[in-house]
This record gives sequence, C-alpha cells and structure tokens, in this order.
Amino acid sequence: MIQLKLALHNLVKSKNQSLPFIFSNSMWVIITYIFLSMIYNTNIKTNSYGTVANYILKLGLVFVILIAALSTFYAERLLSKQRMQELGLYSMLGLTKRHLRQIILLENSLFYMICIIIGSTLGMTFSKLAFMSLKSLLGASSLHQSFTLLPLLYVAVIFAGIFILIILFDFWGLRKVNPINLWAKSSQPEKEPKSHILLAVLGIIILLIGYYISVTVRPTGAAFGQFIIAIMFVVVGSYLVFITASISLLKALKKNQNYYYKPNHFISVSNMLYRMKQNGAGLASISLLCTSILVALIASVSLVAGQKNLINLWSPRDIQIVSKAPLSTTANQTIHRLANNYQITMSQPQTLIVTTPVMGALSGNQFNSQFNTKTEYTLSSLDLKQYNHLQNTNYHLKNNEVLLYAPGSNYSQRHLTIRGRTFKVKPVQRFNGAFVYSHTIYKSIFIVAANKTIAKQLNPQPYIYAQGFNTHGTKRHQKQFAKTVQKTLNIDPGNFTSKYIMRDLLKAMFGSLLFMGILISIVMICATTMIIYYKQVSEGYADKDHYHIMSKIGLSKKETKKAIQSQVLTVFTLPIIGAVLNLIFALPAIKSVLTIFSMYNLKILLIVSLLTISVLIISYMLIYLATTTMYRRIVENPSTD
Amino acid sequence: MSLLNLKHIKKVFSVGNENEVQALKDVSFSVEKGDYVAIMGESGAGKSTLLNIIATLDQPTSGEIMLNGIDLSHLFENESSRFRREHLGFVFQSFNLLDTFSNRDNIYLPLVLSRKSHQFMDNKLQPLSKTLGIEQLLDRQPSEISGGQKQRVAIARALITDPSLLLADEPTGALDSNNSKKILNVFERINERGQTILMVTHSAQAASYAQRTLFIKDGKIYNELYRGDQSRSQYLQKIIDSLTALENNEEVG
Repeated sequence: MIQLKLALHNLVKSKNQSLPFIFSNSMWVIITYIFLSMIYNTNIKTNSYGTVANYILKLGLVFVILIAALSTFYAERLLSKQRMQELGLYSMLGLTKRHLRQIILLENSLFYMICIIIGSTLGMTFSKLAFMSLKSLLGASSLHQSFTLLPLLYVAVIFAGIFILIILFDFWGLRKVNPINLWAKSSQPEKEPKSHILLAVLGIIILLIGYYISVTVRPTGAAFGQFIIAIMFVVVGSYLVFITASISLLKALKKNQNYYYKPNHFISVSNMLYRMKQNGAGLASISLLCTSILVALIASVSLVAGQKNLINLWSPRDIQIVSKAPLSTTANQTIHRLANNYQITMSQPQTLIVTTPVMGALSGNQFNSQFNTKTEYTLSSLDLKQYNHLQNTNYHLKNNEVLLYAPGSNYSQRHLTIRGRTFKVKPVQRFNGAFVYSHTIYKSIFIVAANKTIAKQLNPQPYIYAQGFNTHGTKRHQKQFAKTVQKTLNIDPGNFTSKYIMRDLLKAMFGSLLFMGILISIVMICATTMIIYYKQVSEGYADKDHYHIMSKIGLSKKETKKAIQSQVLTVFTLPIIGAVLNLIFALPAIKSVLTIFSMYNLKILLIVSLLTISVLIISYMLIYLATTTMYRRIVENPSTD
Repeated sequence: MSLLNLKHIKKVFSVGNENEVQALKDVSFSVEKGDYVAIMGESGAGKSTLLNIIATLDQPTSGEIMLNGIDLSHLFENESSRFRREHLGFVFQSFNLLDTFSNRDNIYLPLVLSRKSHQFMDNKLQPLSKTLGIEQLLDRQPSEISGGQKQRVAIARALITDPSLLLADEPTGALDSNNSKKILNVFERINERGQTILMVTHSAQAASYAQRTLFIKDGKIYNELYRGDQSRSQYLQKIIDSLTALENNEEVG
C-alpha cells in the first residue's frame, strides 16, 4: 500500500523532528498514565481523607491532560509544516487529496500507536518501581496497588481524542490548499511573528480570572468544578501570555535602540523573537510544570510537617469517647478492668458536655446551619463554667456575649449572629477540650455561652458527652488497650479516638499523601528536564548556522558564549517567574485544601513554600548550566556542518 | 609595502594520515591597496582554502601571510575574530544573511559587535545604502527580497566597517546573469573609490571586471593576467583562453 509506505517514509525521513515529537508525546502518555493509575489502581480513596486526595489527583489529571493536549497540538503544528512540503510534492506527482488525507491519517495513527505503546509500557514500569521503592521509604504501608486495565484504556481514549483533533486540523489545512501553495508553504522561511495585542490582553485577562477563582474559591463540595475552571483558565492563559506577551516584550526591547544594539542583546533578542512562536509554548509548558512541582511538593510536605498538630486537634486526650449519655458505671468498670489487664494507669477522666455539632457555613458575621456543598464548619456550644474549669481561666460573660474558638477560620468579626440572635464575640486562642466530632473533614467551632440555657439556644441539639483520659504504660500496651476498649464497649470508630491508634492511621495516610506528592514531583521534574533538554538541543541545531555565519563576520568564541548565556538566561528566567507567580495565586487554594486536612498553620506552609521555591530555583539553575554547556558545544562545533 | 602579502603558503590537511591532502603547495602573491584581484581555478584547486587562510578562518601549515603589516598566521582565536571584524569584509555566494535580523540589522551586525553607537551606525549606513541602491529594502526581512537584492545587502554589511580588504567568495554564483552584472558593476564602482577587492570566482565574466586575475591549479599559482588598458571583452577573451589552456594543461604566456 503506497500510502503506508509514504507515511512511513515521511516519519523516518524527518526523524530530526519526529523523534522529539514521539519522545515528548510518550512522556505525556507516561504522566497521564501515572495519574490515572494512582486514581484507579490504588486503594487511596478508601478513607475520608483519601477521597480528598483522590479529588486532588483528578484535578491534577485535568491539568496534565490540558498541558499534554496543548503542547502535543503545538508540536504537531510545527511538524506538519515540514510535512506539507512532502505532501505538496506528492500532490504534484499526481496523488489526490484523498490520498494525502490517507497519508496524514496513517502517519498520525502511527505516531499515536508508537506513543501509546512506549508511554504505557514505561508508565507501568515506572509506577510499579516508584510504588515499590517509595512505599517502604515513606511508611505508606496501607497503600496498595492493584493492576487493572482501566487506566490503560483511559490513556488510550484521551490521546486518541487529542490525535483525532490533530488529524482534523491537518485535514482542514489541506482543504484550501492546491499543490503549488502546499509546495510553497514550507519553503517560505518563517517570518518574524506579529505581535497580537488583542490576544495578549485576552491571555492576561483569562489568567487573571483563573487567579481570581483560585484565590476566592473555598474547598467545598461545589468547588471541584470551579477548581477545574481555574486550572483551565490558568493553563490557557499561561500559553496565551507566554506566546503573545513574550513577543510583545521582545518587540518592545527591540525598539529600544540603546538596549537592542548591544552585542549580547542584539543576537539574543532577535534569535528569541524569531523563534518565539515555538518558544512561547515551550516556556509555558515549563512554567506550568514547575508550578505543579511546587504545588505538589508544598502541599504534601506541609501536610507531613503539620501532622503532629492534627493529632492534638482531633483529640485533647490519649483516649476520648464521645457518646450521647455519660458512660455507664459498667462501662467505666470495664475500662478500669481492661486497664489493669494491660498494666495501664489512667488519669482522672474528664467529661465535657457540649451540644451535638451542627453543620453549616459562615457568611459575614452570620452562621447558617446547612448541610450542602457549601458546608465548611461544625458548630457546637457549651457553657462558661466548663470552659473556665478546663482552662483555669476566669472569664465573665454577659448574656449577649460569647467566647469563640474557631481554629483556621480567621474569624475577625466582632459580632456573630446565630439562629437570629446576635452576640458580642470574644475570640479565644486556646481550648483544651476541642475535638473533631466524628472525625469529619469540617472545621470545628466551639461557642462558649454565659450559661447552659443560652448554650442550648445557640444550638438546640442534644448534648453529647466527650469523656477523655490520659494513659500511661508501654506503647504496645496502650495501643492494645485502646483497641480492646473500643471493641469491648462496641463504640463506633467515629466516636472513639485514641492517639496511639490515630498516630498509626495518620502515619499511613500522610505517608500515602507524601508518596503521591513526591511521585508527582519526580514525574514532573523528569518531564521539565526533558523539555528543557530537547528545547536546548533543537535550538542549538537551529542556531548553529547563525553562529557560524556570525563567527565568519567576526564574532569571537568569548562573545558567542556571552550571547548564548544572555539568550538562555532570558529563556530560563521567564518560566520560573511565571511558576512562582502561579504559585502565589495558588497558595490560598492550597491553604484552604490543607484546612480540609485540619492543617491550619500558615507559618509551616510559608516556610515550606520558601524552601521548596529555593530548592527548585537552585536545581533549575543547575539544569540551566548543564544545558547551556551542551548548547554551546552544539553551536560551536564545526565538524558536523 | 603591499596591503596583503603571501609568501610560500602551504596548507596540508590530515597531516601524517594516509589521506593527506596538499590543498596549497606553494602560493606567493601580493595585493596592493586599491587592487581588484580575481582568483580563478577549478573546484578542488585550492581556491577556498586560500580564501579561508586570508580570511583568518584557517591557518597555513607553513608560509607567511601579512595583512596591513599584521602576521595572520599567528593570531589567536579571539584576536582573529576581532581582526576579521575590523579589517575584512565578506561577501559570500549564499549571501549568509541572518533570517532573524532585518536587512538593516544584518548590515549593522559587525558594527554592533564592535559596540558602536546607534547614531554612528546610522550615519555610516546612509551614504552606503544610497550607493548600493538598497534604501527601500532596509526595513524588510532577508526572506522578503530577491537574490540580487540580498547580495547588495550583504555587500553593504561587508563595507560598513570600511574594511582594508573586501573578500568575495563566488559573489555571483547564486545569481542570474542580469543580477550578476549589477553586482559586478557595484564591485567595479566601489573599487574605483579605492576599495581593495579579492574575489574568488568560477566565472570568466566576473573575473573580467577585475584588474588582475590569478589562476590556481593543484595548489599553485598557474598563471596571472593583468587587464591593463584592454577593453573588458578583450580581457574576457584572454581569460577564457587562459582557462582553456588551464584545462588542457598547457603553458600560456
């Protein structure tokens, strides 16, 4: 079949272009596969936090597919420009458009199959290896990986969609073209790109909308769609801005004669401007990948760093039992008996009586009880006497005054309206009795009222009894004791909290989360490095002639080196600036997602962010140094002329 | 003293190798200021090697080459770049304009590398672009103009530094006869203004514009013709005769 032969011939003949295309595409397949396999092939979503993790993974997946689609699309446009010449030749030799379409179809199908096969094989190997090595390292022993064909199927479908779009686009390009034009299209050298002010402005607006959504959105059930929209806007906006704004910027630099007519700037600005159409997309990809590395690392590391706080947040005592009535005498006797059995000494139990938490949301200075996608808090009330007793404080409250303990809410209003009544608020920073009811993902608010009557008016739900005590004994015994108490008294896990059991649980859970974060980061770091590497190599070859001509005219090696450094440095700084900017706007979203995991400590988040950014910049600079050397070697090497 | 002086230049490639090639065996000649010299010879005769050595892109295996009293055979890489920029102008067969620059910036390139001010470059370019008739082309890209126009831009780039010596490597090789004539007329005009030109060419037509023609064969200077007071067609006939003799391996006086 002649068409297949020609398609294969095209692919092999232009291997300088098609190999990088296959390479980068396979990489996107790998990344997509890894995300999909984490979502579908692990037990990550089995607990309530895992559900959130799963949800974040899905956001990540959308992000990856978007970048994959855009960059694949872009790379193919460049490839097809080269290919048009071949097609023009065939057309002149007598092949009809139908034949040309068949060739395009075959060629892209070949690309698709090669990329899927390479990508999924490597993806499976990589995720298996990563799983085995990282799991034991991070103590994520509860994380399991199974093998299903589902992720493979999804990857195949997603990329089939991307390739179908590409093929349709190619057909569209073929439609209006006659042989002469086809032939002429690729022999035309690339012109200096025009600056598209309108597109640049549009890009900035889209980016800003994306930022706005991510800054304002709260992580509630309804937010998933909004997060996806924010991600889409930021991705599309980044591409537009990098492609158009970078051209405008370079044009402005060129207009500035004092800047432009300096040896380094002269060469680098014009080189970059000339290639910005391709460059812009590459830079946007690099910038977005760097952003994802930052977000993944910062979120997972902050979580692990804040893990200790979480345990204390959930339960103020070693063991806490929440029930609708005080513990019966028999139950207490059972606990003491079991404590004896396990050689445990118990502290004097303390009982906190609060109203059953009601779910709701804060808007302004109003608390509305509701249970829907906007739910963010659970609110319960108690009387001042208990609070003063527990905290050893001596607060006095009037009937219209309350103490408010609401960690992670940043509530700064001076009044609070609940069920139609407005109270003057005195915020308090400490409440030793605070706990998370049923271990939900909602943030707890405790309101201390002057007396029981008002407490009950604030929240008319029945009282619950939180009985807690500390234990002393060996670690193993304490754990066994806690387990046996729960089993013997037949307490629902949501109402029974033991720090020792929980520590294990959290370790496993955060281990899994850290695992996810690190795995995503590794994959993204590899992807970024490879994009940079390929960009430098291909540009090195493209710039080679230029530097050769310039050396004939009188550009010395030293000046070449300087010009290259100036050019590469600009190319490198833009994405990292973009990434840091993206991160700044993503931080509020990260923060609010972290509060789902009851991580309220902003200081930890900021420290981790700064550290991560510095590490990223340093490693980025190392890659920069390495690739610049490589680029120079290519450009200065005369032997392969 | 001559502007350019070559004494017993020898160039051997792959020394000591079994593929050892003697590109230049023993070449000596000199070029005076204001000369217009054409170098002719078949492919592989050593023309390009000779040009590369004069252009400081390559160094001779032995022999001495002086330009403006500077010994070119011992220049360091960075020195030779600067030397090229300040003393030599280049015109190539394939124009070698950079697509990334506008025509104006292509012409400015050597001056920018020498860190001249924009004002200085502008002042330089104005009379030059008039002489070459390229005023209208300056703000276009090289990809938007014809071959003959490209070569004129390239000549402007070569001349903007006021080089002591203009080196032209088959300047009409990629042009049709009409454009070739135009370019050769340009060369003639600038030579009349005192510009020294050294041109390597295949074309007897092109060589007939020069005042003097050197014939190279097998790495040696084989013959030398002076135009003197002859008309261009007479001189052209002599060149063609000489080339025929060269091909037939005869001695011609």
